[in-house]
This record gives sequence, structure tokens and C-alpha cells, in this order.
Amino acid sequence: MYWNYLVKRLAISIITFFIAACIIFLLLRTMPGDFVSNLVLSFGNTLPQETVEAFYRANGLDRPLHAQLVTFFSGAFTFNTGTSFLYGVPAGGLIADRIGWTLLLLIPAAVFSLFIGVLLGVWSSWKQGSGTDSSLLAFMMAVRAIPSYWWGTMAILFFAFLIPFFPLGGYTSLTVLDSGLSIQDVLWHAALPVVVLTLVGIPGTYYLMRNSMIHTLQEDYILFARARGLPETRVVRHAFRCALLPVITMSALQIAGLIMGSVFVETVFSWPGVGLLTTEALQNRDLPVLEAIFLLDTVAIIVANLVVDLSYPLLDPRVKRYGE
Amino acid sequence: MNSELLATRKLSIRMCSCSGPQTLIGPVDLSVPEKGITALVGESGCGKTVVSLAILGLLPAGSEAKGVISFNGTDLLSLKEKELREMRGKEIAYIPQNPATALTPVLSAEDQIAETLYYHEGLTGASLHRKVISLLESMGLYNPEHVARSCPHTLSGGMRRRVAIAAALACSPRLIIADEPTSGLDSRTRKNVLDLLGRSSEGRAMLLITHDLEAALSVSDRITVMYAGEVVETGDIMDVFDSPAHPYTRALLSATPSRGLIPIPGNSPLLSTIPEGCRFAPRCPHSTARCRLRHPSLTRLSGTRVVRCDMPC
Amino acid sequence: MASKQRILLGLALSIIAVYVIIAIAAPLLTPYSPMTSCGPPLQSPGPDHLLGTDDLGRDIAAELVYGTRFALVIGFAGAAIAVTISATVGIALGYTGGRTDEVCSRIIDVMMAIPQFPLLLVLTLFFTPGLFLIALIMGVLAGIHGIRLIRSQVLSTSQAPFIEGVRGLGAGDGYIMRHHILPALGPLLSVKFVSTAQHFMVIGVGLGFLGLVDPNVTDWGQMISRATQYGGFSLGLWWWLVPPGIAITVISIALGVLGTRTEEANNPRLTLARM
Repeated sequence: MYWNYLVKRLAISIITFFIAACIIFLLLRTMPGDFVSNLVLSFGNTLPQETVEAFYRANGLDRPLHAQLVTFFSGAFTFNTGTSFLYGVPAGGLIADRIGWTLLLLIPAAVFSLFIGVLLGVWSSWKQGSGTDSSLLAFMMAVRAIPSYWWGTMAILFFAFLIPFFPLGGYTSLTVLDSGLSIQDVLWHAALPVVVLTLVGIPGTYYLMRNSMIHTLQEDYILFARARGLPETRVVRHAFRCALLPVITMSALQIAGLIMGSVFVETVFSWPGVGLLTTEALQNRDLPVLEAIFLLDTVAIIVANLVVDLSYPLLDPRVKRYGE
Repeated sequence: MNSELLATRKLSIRMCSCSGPQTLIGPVDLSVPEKGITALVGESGCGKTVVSLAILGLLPAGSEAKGVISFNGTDLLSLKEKELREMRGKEIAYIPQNPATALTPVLSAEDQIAETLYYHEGLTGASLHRKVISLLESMGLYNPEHVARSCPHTLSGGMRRRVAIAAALACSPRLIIADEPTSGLDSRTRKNVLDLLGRSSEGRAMLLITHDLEAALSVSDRITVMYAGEVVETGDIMDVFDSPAHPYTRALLSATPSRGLIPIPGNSPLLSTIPEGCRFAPRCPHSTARCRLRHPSLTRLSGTRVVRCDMPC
Repeated sequence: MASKQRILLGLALSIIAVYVIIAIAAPLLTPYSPMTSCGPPLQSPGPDHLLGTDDLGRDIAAELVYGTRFALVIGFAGAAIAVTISATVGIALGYTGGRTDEVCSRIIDVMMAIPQFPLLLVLTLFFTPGLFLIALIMGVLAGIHGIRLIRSQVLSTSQAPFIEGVRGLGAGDGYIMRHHILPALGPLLSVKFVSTAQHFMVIGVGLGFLGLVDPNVTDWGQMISRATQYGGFSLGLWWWLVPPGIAITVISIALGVLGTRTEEANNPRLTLARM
């Protein structure tokens, strides 16, 4: 029965991806003021007509729309949306090269921010109304208000420029030329970006956790648990088990925030991941690469939602095991 | 003679409100004997539940209780949080207003009964499991092994109620506080619940908090009536039933279905705008100018019979 | 406690007011144009140029002042568009219900699965937009995302007993939507407006930072990015790098405070619990 549910959710996810891909394709290839003429304009409109036509042909942009659609989809599932205008290599390959670097930042940042956010949220709700709670709330509001690119810039200014402890950016020191890539060196370069990404990710989880806990702590069963003389740690655990569920559902949304954060943070720190690739592609109007990145992000969010939906019935005994 | 297990003396509870802290409840003088059921009766909003939370030391943050709550000779208000916690569940049990929603939804019935036993009596392993099963059995559940494994949402309302009562009474407490156990129930279920409570409280003390005077009359031995945050009458159930001394008690009795459902005129005052003088005076058919000026104190009529009225009937 | 909160709110409101005045009165506040070179490049702060000049010899103070316009227009115009779209479509769907609602809700569900930020990047790249087009794109995208929340709120409101009562008195659908449902949504919409405005300002300046905004528009993001690339760090020209970042941070925090207060004012339980 759970399998039926699983198959159904999987099918919905694939359809969603298909529709998202269609939308982006139609949006980009059929919009008024087509992409290439914009590109030509950005070169000051000085390119000879033959070059422009050769470009169209080379990238298959002169073919009828339905033919382009077929090519687009035959590549879409491997993120091969065409040849990068800038690098002249398949977009899928570029992403494959960069994704590891991005995950090196994103995975620790996601884990740390989730962990710290949940912890602080529980603590804050337990101390609700106290000085600690209100100062934590104010602090989180400030953290959320300050843009990620400004956190990054400040981090570099203070911890790399004024106090030159961390590197200014990049992923390795120049010693790489003599001694090769060393793991410590890469981690040392990754430290500041991970800290900034973590910091930016904390408030979302914190607010969710705190709200969810505050609602749960008002429930009858918490009073009953206290009235049975259970120690406060045990009471908080009762509440936590129930309050965590909505936070897990919302955690898929956090992925979108992290993707956005990674674009800014990787750009600030010149970290060679997909985020920086995004900025490069944007600045060079590299359409196929952008399409590939867009599809990758869509898949990431759809998969995150799928994982949450599939794990929810296993985590919450109240939800019927077999779907809606 | 039945000696006194729980007694409150001049208990007053200050609660936080918008216009600064102010005394809302009290003085409450309450006495619960070692055996038998004492009913605490009053309209909703008169402060019954707050009194029960004060006894448990579970008042919401920002409120403060003054006076004496003496339990078996110790003053609960002078205890530290840790000592009080060891008291709750072991010596004093609390059965919440709606036991059906009082179970944590993500934990099994067994977990919730077992944790009480684990923290208070240090039971573990097989002996813990045996004790849980025997408790469930004593609550009249037919398939205790199955119920123990179930999460609350798979159990019926009645079963949940029994599981919650089993969890509350797991450590054989000497005092049981039952908060509105019959509110919102149909008459048949109400009778079942009262029977169950009556059986579980045999040989122990129970404080039954209710607005349901008939339920109180049918099971309890003693009764204390509260009005607008203070005690107005206390006595043995039959005495109060036969000859209520306070006009409010009399009005409450006349409002029960068996005595003709005669309504009490007016509304009970909000606890933040309590009148001077006798609090019941504005609604009392016998009130005089003096009643409205002078706040009457509790006077002893006979033995254990106490009333707060200058002109008791 | 309460008075401290009131001071904080007053402070936030006055900061927002000051930004609005700066944006409107920009030409009166600085003699320079933010787009044209007006002296030697990379000057230090001095009496002529309060914050010095950038690598193209433009007055940094002038850029800062004119950049306020960009942030405020993106924030407030974008949020107004977003909230208007969410509210009209959400009310229409939630109140009408039936097949239209079901079909539209399905479409919106799929649209919501598309990651917003990458879509925004692709669209801005496509248009290399100026100020108002960015506000429009952001407003439409966020507007679509907001529909579901408003719709569910409308659904629960329109089933409330008082709506049935009003209908029983003979009120028409249009009247109920305008006079009962919209006011009931008021608190939610105002919270949404403030938080969206804050979000848009941060993202809008971020787009400038990524180099996506028309270079003929002055904005703080392009200033930060230019400063980091052309000497903000290497030459230590902090007066070029820091002011635009402070500018966006201060308005963002002010809006954050305003948003929190609006939320609390509309959720008395939260305020009570906090006393």
C-alpha cells in the first residue's frame, strides 16, 4: 500500500519536472525579442550577419520550435541542454564538474544550520517570554535581514582582510602548483563560505521550530506530562517529537533558500561551484548553461519535496501509511 | 475519623493580566480527607482549575500562589521544583479535563504509562511491562497487550480515556485531582466515567473538580462550593444537599434538572472586576445594603460545616 | 518592555521615512550625477566628495543617494504588485471554488514547484531589465507563489458563520468579497506586504551585485560588486565598499522590525505570551 503511494508521488514529481522544463523552454525560446538578437545587441550590434547565422545554425536555434523541443527534452534528463556559448563544451559536463564543489559547501551548511536552528528554536520556545528568548528573536531577525552577499563581504573584510587569517577567496592557495591540491587547504578555504551559508540558513529553521514548539507546549498532553511528574527534559522531548514534524515538511523549502544563498556566497568567495557558474553564465549570457542550472535546481527542489512526502507517513503515526 | 490529607489555608493566586498583576483567586480554604471524594463545585471561570494547578505547582508563568497548601503535613508552596516534581504523579495525580486529548500523539500507550513508573519507581524491563499490562487490565481494557502497543490515534475516545487514567494513577497516588472529568459527555458515558473514577479512588482521596452539581452529588462525600474565586460553602454532601446554607448553593441546587431548572438571575462577575462586599450580593434574592458593603468571612456553622454568609439560612 | 518596543517601532518607521525622503529629494542632496565622472578616480573622502570617487571618477555619495530609488522602487512597487496578484486571484479562487478553483489550484501547484530564484535570474538575463521591469517580474513571480496562502485563508473565512449571516441578510458576492473577506485578510496582507518588500530589496540589490541589472541604473549591488573587484579589498577603500552594504542592511532591518511588529499586532496571543 505504501508502494502505491510511493509510485503515485513519483509519477507526480516526474510530471512536475516535465511541465517545469516545458515552461522554461517556451519562456526562453518563444518570448518576444529573441535571445540571440539580445546577445548580438550586447556586442554593440557589430557582428557580421554571417557570423550571427552561423551561430544560430551551430546551436540549432534555426530549426523549427518542435524540433528544438525534442532536442531539449532528449537532453533535459541529463542536464544536457546544449553547448555552452562561453566554454564550447556540453552544459551537462560543466555542471558535473562543478556540482561537487557546491555540495562541499551546501551539505555541511545544510546540516549545521538545521541542527543549530532546531536547537535554538527549542531552547527559545522553552524559555518563551524570557530575556534569552527575546534577544534570540531579535538576533535572528537581524541575521535574516542582512543579505547573504553582505554577510560574505563582511566576513572577507574582517577575517581575511583586516585580520588576515582566512583566504580572500577561491578554493586553494597558490602552493597547489608545487605540492598539489591538499585537503586541509581546501577545507581552510571552504570555512568562511560554509559559516556564512550556515548563518544565513539558521533563522528559517529557528522560526519554524520555535513556533511549532510554542503551539505544542500549549497542548493538553504537555500539561498532563508535567502533572505526572516527568522531568522537564522528558516533557520537552514529548513536545519536540510532535513539533519536529511540521519543521521537516517545511525543510524542503529551505533547499530553495540554500540554492539562492549558494549563488551569492560562491560569487563573493569566488568558490568554483554551480553558484559561481550561474553568475558567470549570467554575465556572459550563456543560455544553455543557465537552462541546465535551472533544471538542476528544479530537480533538487522536486526531489527534496518527494523525500519529505515519502518520509512523512513513516515519521508521523497519525498520517495513514498509504497516502491521502 | 477520617484525617485530613490536603488542606489549603488562605490560598490566593495572583495571575498576570493586562493591567498589571492583581489577586484574582482566593482566599480559598479547602480540605480533602484521606479517604473519599471531595467535590469542588462552581461555575466555569470561578477559578476551580487554577486552584488545582496551584496544588500541582503548575500555574502558568507569571502567576504566583500565596498562603499554605499543606499536603500530608508539608507545605507544597515551600517545596523546590524538584521535590514538587517527585510529588506529582507519585503522591498527587492529575486527571486532565479531556483525557482523550491528554496523550502525546506520537508515543505508544505503553511508553506513556511506563515513563511515569520509570521516573517515580525506577521500574525497568519485564517488570515494567508486566506492571503496565496489569494497570491496563485493571482499567477494564480487554486486550491490554494490543492497547499497550497502540498509538493514541488508533484507540477510541473511551480507550484513550482509560489509558490516560491508567497513566495518571500508575504509581498509586494518595490524592487524585480530577478536573471536569464529565464535561461534554453524554449521560451514559458520564456514568461510566464516574463509576471508573469511583472505583479507582477507593481507599484514596480524590478532589473532583466540576461544574456539574448532580455528578458531584452522586459520587462525593464532601462538597466545597466556589463563587467568583472564593469558597462560599463547605460541608458533608448530605447536609449541603438537604439544607444549603449559602444562597448561591441553594440557587445552584434549584438550577439542577431534578429541582426544576430555575435559573440564577444575572451573571457571575469577571474575576478582574469583583464587587466590594459580598461577591454574590448583586444576584442574591436576600441581599441587604449591609451585604453590599461588608465582605463576609467564613463562619463555622457546625463541625465541618462552613459558610461565607452573614445571614445563612 | 512595551515602551521599548514602541521606541523600536518608531525608530524603524523614521528610518523608512528618511529613506523615502532621500529617494525623492536625491537631486537636492547631491550636486553630482551618479552616472557621470566628476573628478579623478579613486579619490579619498574629502570636502568635495564626501565619500570619495570610484574607479570611473563618479561621486560615491551621489551613487549611494540615487541607489535608494532603486531599492525602494523594487521593494515597494514589487511588493504591491505581488500582494495585489495574490489577493485578487486568491480571493476569486477561494470564494468561487468549484471546478475553476480546482483547475487553477493544480496549475499553481505546478508553478510553485518551479524554483523561483533561478527563474528570476533567467528572466532578468533575458530582458537585462531596468528598474520597473525587475519590480514587475519579481512581483508577478512572488504573486503567483502567494496565491495558495491567501486562497486557503479565504476558504476558511468564507465558511465562517458571520459570512453565512451576511449572506442570509441578502448581501451579494461582490459586496461580501469587498466588505467582509478583504478586511478580514487585511492583517495577513499587510504582513505579507512588509516582508515581501524587505525580501525584494535584498534580492534586487543582489541582482545588481550579480551584474544582472542594466548598467545605466544606479544601485547598491553594482556598487558593492565594483568595489570588491576594483580595489575595495586590495586597496582598502572601505568607504567605497561599506556604505552601500550598510544602506541595504539598515533599511532591511527597519522593515524587519516593522514586519515583526505588524505580525504581533495582529496575533494577540503571541503578544500576550510575551508579556
